[in-house]
Amino acid sequence: MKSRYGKRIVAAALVACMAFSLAGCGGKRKINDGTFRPVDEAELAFPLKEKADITGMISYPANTESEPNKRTIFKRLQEATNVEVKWTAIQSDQWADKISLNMSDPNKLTDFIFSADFTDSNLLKYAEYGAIIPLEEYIDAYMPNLKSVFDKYPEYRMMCTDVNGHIWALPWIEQLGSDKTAIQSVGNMSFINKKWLDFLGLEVPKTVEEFENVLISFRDNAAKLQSEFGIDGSIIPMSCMINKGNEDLGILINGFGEGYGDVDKDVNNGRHIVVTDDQKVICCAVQEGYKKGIEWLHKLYEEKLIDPEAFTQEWATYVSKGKSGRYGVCFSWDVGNIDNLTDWVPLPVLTADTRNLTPENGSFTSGFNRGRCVVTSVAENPALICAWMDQMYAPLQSPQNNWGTYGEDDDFDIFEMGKNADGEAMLKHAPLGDASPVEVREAEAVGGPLAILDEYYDVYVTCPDDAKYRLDWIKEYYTPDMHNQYVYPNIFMSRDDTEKFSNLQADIHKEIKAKKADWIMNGFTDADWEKYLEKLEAYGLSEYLELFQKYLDSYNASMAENK
Amino acid sequence: MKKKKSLFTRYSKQDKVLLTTGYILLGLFVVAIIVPMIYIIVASFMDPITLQNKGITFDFSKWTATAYERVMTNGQIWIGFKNAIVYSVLFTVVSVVVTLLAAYPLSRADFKGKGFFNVIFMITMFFGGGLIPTYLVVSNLGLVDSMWAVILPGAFSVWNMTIARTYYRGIPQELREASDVDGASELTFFFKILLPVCTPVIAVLVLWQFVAMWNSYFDAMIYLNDSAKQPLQLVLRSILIQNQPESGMIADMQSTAARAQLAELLKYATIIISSLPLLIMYPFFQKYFDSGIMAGAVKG
Repeated sequence: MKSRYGKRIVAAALVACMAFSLAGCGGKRKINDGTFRPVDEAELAFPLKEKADITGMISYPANTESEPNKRTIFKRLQEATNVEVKWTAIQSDQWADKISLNMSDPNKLTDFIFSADFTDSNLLKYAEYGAIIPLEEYIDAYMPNLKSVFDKYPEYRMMCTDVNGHIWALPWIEQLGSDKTAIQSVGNMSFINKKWLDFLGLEVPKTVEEFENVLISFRDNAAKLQSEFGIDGSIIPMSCMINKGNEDLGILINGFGEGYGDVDKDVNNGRHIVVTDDQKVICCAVQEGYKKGIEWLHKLYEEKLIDPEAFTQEWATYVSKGKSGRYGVCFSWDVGNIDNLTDWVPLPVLTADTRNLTPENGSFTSGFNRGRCVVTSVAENPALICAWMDQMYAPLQSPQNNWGTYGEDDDFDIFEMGKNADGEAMLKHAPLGDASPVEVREAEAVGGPLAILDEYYDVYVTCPDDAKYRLDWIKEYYTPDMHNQYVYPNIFMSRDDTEKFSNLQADIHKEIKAKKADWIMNGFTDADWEKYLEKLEAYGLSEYLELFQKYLDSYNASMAENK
Repeated sequence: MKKKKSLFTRYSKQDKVLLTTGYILLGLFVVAIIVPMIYIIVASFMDPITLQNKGITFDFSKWTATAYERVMTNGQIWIGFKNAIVYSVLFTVVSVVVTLLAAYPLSRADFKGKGFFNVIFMITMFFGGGLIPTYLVVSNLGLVDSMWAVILPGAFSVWNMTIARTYYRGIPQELREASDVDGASELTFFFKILLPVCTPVIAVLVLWQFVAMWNSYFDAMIYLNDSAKQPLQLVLRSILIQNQPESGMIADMQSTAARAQLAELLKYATIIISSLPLLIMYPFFQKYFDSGIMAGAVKG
């Protein structure tokens, strides 16, 4: 505490100094008010006749090259375009803290921010302050690559456009599958230990009753399993991290009631909404099925089938126990993180009253990040910056920016340049030997705005292996059981509504999370359930759902218009 | 041993009860501090998976020095170590000098405008400029990405100044009168007479400021960009933070998870390495906390 006060004193004194010194520096930077500045297209033909300098801000992972211009991708780009970028590079773990400071300091602000990753509310806030400029006209005029992506997938243009028709940021698009086969459609996957099943002569369960019996036999045969597989520590029939999104056990109860299950439950941003087949937004955590599902989970807990640490454990503990092979059932994006890929199989959807799996909201359009890259109001020549940025959306460039490149002098590369079936250039994932993929990737990739579309695979680039097996899991185990027609799309609310949403969500999400954990552990009565419904209503649940309904309707209306 | 026992028997029953309770309470207190320390030391030699599943064990065959090897071979940690020492030493020197000098006039009853300065200083204890304005000031002064951005803004601490001032006031007035009689100027008195009798408070300030700078990372994170300028705590922070897997990140989740394990492995070893210099420092400062420093300064 104490040194902070001292800092303030000096700060106060320095403010006084600054008041004097500011008078001295009259040359404030010119601010671009966001009106379109057209440029003759011939001037933007790459490589430029005269070398141009622009400034940018970018993040880089710790322990990798801190000078972006030394990265192969940017070296090649500079040669191809004759544009030199003067970078301000910030280590990625410090990005969030530093970017808000840099955004507030016009002297430090650069022409564009390559890896901004702004949330919707930050994006709209900076737009309102005039710190960033709208890009829709530049996209149409100087960004042919991005424009062709938007023309092919009008939903991406809609997702980027705010209620006033402005596009404030260049998106990151990474399609890995789409609609019900998108890699994001099931985040919270369940896995069952096939090695144990085989040893005990059991089948992969298909219904909740069968599942419960399997867990019981894991529990009752603990000693046998322990000695057979030489496991340190006790056997845990099922472990999870309750309310932690992908590590939660919510997927198990998708078959109860009408089958809306428990989705959109991310620990921070969970919204708990589902779109019914007649396009109504409802809250899944107030459905009868959810109630029955939680009752059933409580029963499992009472029978000591759920890890008692499930409510409190952190990722490190969860994984450590998994790595010692103590789990019978666990939940994750990919079981390879928890234990290994050989002993485990995905546990398909369980039948209870019905058999259904609700895909994750926003997943039908696969990987999308709205606020990836912004052009700021200090940019003198936004057309040049946009034209340069458009290079990132070139089909052969995007995969490199996202994953890594080819032909470097050092040991390993993510890609090698090969040929596709038509004999054109294609990036092929190269064998990495014993190098860790994430380290090679971090050393080579640059991130930023880019678009990788499904039709690029096997034409411009090969699909990464770890994505491929997960896509296969989804297609094989989950897609056939997805009977919902819609998911809630990725919509862009207005600033007021964003604020309204986050105020409402704060209470609602917290109440749902708290009650879920409490009820799985301690059980609940019908009176508790009624009280819970009343409380959510008092927190403004209907207003919350109306808000989502409004944006869903307008999204559907403009989709219909586009078609 | 024998002597002690005989001493103990001399106490009355009441005293014995009191003493025993005292020893028990102190003993518990010591245990509460020692046990986590031992845990961390042992844990730093253990594989995180064994640690999480079985807890600590004194079965030495399970121990490993991998964590220390990894830490020792990480170049960034050594850069951070060097920076942390430079920043902490410089910060301590600047801070203690500024604090001692500021405290002196304010300790004097005959200093005009004392009330005014006190109020100015007090205000800063209750109100601050906030993060962004402070950042803008530092940025406009051209300090960003220089080590002075970490050292200067926090160098003066009102709290420490108050401590020093109070200590000065406790020094008998006779010392000042005596040096006046001998014709000493303010400066001579301050440096030759006052400071030498103030070593305990100086030692306290030095220790506090050194430890505060050694443990701080936030200012460094905000103001420094160059990774070659990062202090140790910031390096440790990025080792621990970057290895948190982002759930939902598509590719390479597995190796991210493997690195999360590495972070677990390194956690305890880095705690030990980063607190080692402080542990070594404390005993050396012990001797300055003598109470007898004023003995013989004033006679009669």
